[in-house]
Amino acid sequence: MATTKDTTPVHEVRPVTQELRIPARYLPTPTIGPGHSFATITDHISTIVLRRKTPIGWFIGLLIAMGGVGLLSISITWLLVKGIGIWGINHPVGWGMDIINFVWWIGIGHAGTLISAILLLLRQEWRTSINRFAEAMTLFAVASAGLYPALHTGRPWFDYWLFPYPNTMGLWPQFRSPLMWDVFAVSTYATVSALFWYVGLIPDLATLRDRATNIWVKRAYGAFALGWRGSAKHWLRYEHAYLLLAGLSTPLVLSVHTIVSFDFAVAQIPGWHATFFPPYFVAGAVFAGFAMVLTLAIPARKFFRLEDFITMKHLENMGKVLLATGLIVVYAYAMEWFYGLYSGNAFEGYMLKNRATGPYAKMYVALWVCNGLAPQLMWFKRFRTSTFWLFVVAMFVNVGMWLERFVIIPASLHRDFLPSSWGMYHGTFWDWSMFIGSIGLFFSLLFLFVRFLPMISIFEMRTLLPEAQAHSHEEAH
Amino acid sequence: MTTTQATGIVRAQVPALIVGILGFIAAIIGWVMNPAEFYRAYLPSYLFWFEIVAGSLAILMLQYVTGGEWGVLIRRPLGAAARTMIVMAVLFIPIAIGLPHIYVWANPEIVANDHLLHLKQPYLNPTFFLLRAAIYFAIWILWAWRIRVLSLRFYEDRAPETEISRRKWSAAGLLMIVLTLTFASIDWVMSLEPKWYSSMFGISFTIGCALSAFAYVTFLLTQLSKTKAMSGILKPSHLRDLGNLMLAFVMLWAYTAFSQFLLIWYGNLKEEVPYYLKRQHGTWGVMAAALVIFHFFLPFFLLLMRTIKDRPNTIAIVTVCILAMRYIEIYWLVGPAHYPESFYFSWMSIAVLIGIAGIWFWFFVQQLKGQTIIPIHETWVEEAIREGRLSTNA
Amino acid sequence: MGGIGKPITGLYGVIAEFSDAQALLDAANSAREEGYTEMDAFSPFPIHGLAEAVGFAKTGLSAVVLTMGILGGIGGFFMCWYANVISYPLNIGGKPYNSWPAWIPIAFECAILLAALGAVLGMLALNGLPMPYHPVFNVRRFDQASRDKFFLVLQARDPKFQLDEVRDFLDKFNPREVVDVPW
Repeated sequence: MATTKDTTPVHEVRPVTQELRIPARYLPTPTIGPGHSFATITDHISTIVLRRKTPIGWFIGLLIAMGGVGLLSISITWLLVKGIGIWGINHPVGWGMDIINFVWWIGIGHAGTLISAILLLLRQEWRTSINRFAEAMTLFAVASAGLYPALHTGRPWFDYWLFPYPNTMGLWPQFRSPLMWDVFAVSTYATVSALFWYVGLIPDLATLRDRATNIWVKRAYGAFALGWRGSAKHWLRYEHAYLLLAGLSTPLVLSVHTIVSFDFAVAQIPGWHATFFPPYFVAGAVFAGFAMVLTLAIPARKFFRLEDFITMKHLENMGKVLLATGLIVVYAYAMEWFYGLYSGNAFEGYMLKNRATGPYAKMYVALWVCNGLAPQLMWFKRFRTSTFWLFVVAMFVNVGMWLERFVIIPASLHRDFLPSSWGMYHGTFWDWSMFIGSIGLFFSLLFLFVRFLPMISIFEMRTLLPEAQAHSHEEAH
Repeated sequence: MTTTQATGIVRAQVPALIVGILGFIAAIIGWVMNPAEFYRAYLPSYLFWFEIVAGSLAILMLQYVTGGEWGVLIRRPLGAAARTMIVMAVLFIPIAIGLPHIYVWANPEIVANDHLLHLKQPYLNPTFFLLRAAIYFAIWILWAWRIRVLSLRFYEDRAPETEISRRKWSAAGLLMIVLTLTFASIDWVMSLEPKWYSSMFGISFTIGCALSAFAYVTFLLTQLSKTKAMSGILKPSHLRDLGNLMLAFVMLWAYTAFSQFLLIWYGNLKEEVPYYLKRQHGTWGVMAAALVIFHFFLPFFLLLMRTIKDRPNTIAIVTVCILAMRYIEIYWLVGPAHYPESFYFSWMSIAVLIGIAGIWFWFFVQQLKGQTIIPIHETWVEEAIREGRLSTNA
Repeated sequence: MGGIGKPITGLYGVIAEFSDAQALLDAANSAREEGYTEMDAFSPFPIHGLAEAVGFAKTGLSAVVLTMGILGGIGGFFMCWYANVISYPLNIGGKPYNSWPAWIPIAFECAILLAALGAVLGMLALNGLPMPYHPVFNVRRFDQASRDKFFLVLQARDPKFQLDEVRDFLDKFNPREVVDVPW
């Protein structure tokens, strides 16, 4: 230590003498448009909700979406009358579009939690203007997803048997079944997402309460605002609770799609039994979810003139996430081939051959194009910063992720171990009507949301302004 | 005068080298006594240090892609560790020589009489194995030096283009390292049990590498912080960030390890489940239990606590625990392939572990020397770009 | 505070309105240094250091969440174990009755569920919400606290509270206005 005693810490800091030359394209794109103040942010976002006149476009959109809800109601009614035989499922394909759609929807929901929770923990400011919207998307996607397994049970009026409660029959659910894990995972996910969303809304509901002029509107928002008054003590606890919720939601969101993947991977069916299914499904879910956020955010920002709040930086970042998660998914597709060949297992080998050349080969190729090729455009800034191309790529991914689940589920099941048990699967009219119906449900809820609640977190947007920075004088020195 | 010299780490360089050489002399004595045992003992000890080096490269690139304050203080050590990949390539030679002792599939007479191994021969054969290893090392060394060159250029010109170029190399490098580590783990570890396969394995191994590297650099940082040169630089918030990242990787490790176990346990297929059956009886089983407790629960709960994350002395204990458990896990993955009946641990593993430690550390310090330990100029420019303080004069 | 059913009368405190966050933070810090203990600040968004300025630092939520999480995890595991090992053992696919790896997913979900409920309900309960009525809502311009204005209230129950002194004290920070808050 003798040598260190007399040495003062020397950090070589070269004085910056030369003028730094930074081309404009390297400068950061701001997360909020110029010229805003606390008041303009508040008024701009809350006016979308509080204005008297509703744009005609909203009514048209809601009407179309409600048409989907009508179709869904008819489909469910017919399903309850006739049973699940109206779907295309059969032996050996016991899981068809119902489970495909379930996985598709729940995957879409995951981006919402990712944006609101993980990006918060990573201190990514750009999440602020899209998190509310993404969380709402999560809730509605989970609602659409939840329909399918609930109806698939065949006798949905007995679905409460899935919950553990002491009953006169002395029975308990069979907790070794991954389908039971699903019940817990999805209901926990729905509950925690709703809590997260609602907690995020409380200060904004107070803003709406204070801005509303109609007494009934004021009371309605006031009731849900719980008497929020923006007290410093409340804010401190509020932020702590929000951070804790984010910390809890992050492992939760991983666990949900992990458990969904267990539904398949615990089985011994080639194409299902793969140990990397959990992370592969999670990445796929985030991939699909970000594609859906882009699909919704690009038109919404145009329609509601939110370009100042959802800037190109947001869209570009989402493009990057799309690329990163897309690469993980491609890793999974590629490794499936490697392990299939490496294993030396005849059934694994046949499964791959059947995918590439069997009756569903077209879907497999389309899957590679949608999920493998299309997102590669996101390597280039030119495509990442073009709303048109982002939208196109997002649509490819929406389709591709649906195809992925199709390839995993019916395409793995239809060739059983015994050739005598082979079969084919095709969705029927009712399969498709339920799918379209659930899309209608999702959009109806979304239309109602953007009309009645602030789709951008007002109070968090305020914190993005430089004026929001205040320092205690103790900190200054 | 550079801070590295002032930190005193340089004075540990020569003693480390001497200890390393002594370790290797002991290992060579072991090799003379029992070559097969030596080679089998060599692999896990080599992998332990390899994980730190490979993980450092991965985290370095992650840092350059994402930015973030968490990485500012660890960039230099990560870079230095990543550049020691050349040493790891040289230290791979004993494995290449001892192939038939380590890997069943490297014995032609066994392969000839086994249908499945015969089937896998196009992939699992010594020539292709060594070729692949050479390719992995070439790629890793290329990336480590490319990033070094770009960093040096950035130091000179401070042009954002250079920073962007480094970021692009790093982004591509992350893709590269996940793929190469996947295949390296299949080749070097998974093929020890040539009939077993698990597609989670590569992911799990990559996460293990990152965790090892995080634990190593965090430990190094806590030790450096005690010296005068670093005093006042390392703030609790730095350690907290690193602690949180370690927490995340501890959880990811547990996630992949448990998922793989659950799926294989549940599927109960005859080609998969013997892997775990072998690893859960006797002392191997005790090791498995130790992994659950000390590789997950203990660091998990400790790293949840701010009081532990924020202080150099306490977080250092956690990093040591994690590093020790990394070695246990590696040995638990490798050992039962050679000693399936009952637990066996050779003294030569310790000799090799110390031998590589000393020699590797010498090279590590060699790489770390002669530069500031904190890349001040880089952070300044990056921060300025991020905050938009720099104006264009184009 | 009066008894139940009896209207509370008198003065709740004195409130000052500011136009920017820094002014509020400075005023709050000075008030604490001056020796006031019973006060609260209101802002349209969280301000770092403001809670400490009004003399509040610990939220007490971490302990609630950790306890609930551990209870949930143990409870979930116990539920699976009790139902499928003790109460109604069933042989499913030759798996052992105590298939502990299969209990982990549910134990995990229960841990998260209870911890999240603990975070939200704990936050609301400790904050005393919902609270539909509060004296500060009587202030005419208080609805601006959820838009772009900042408020500091010094409460009458503060032992140091002297109406004139408090008004003068608050006036020093250049507020937009200083008004009395009735109960």
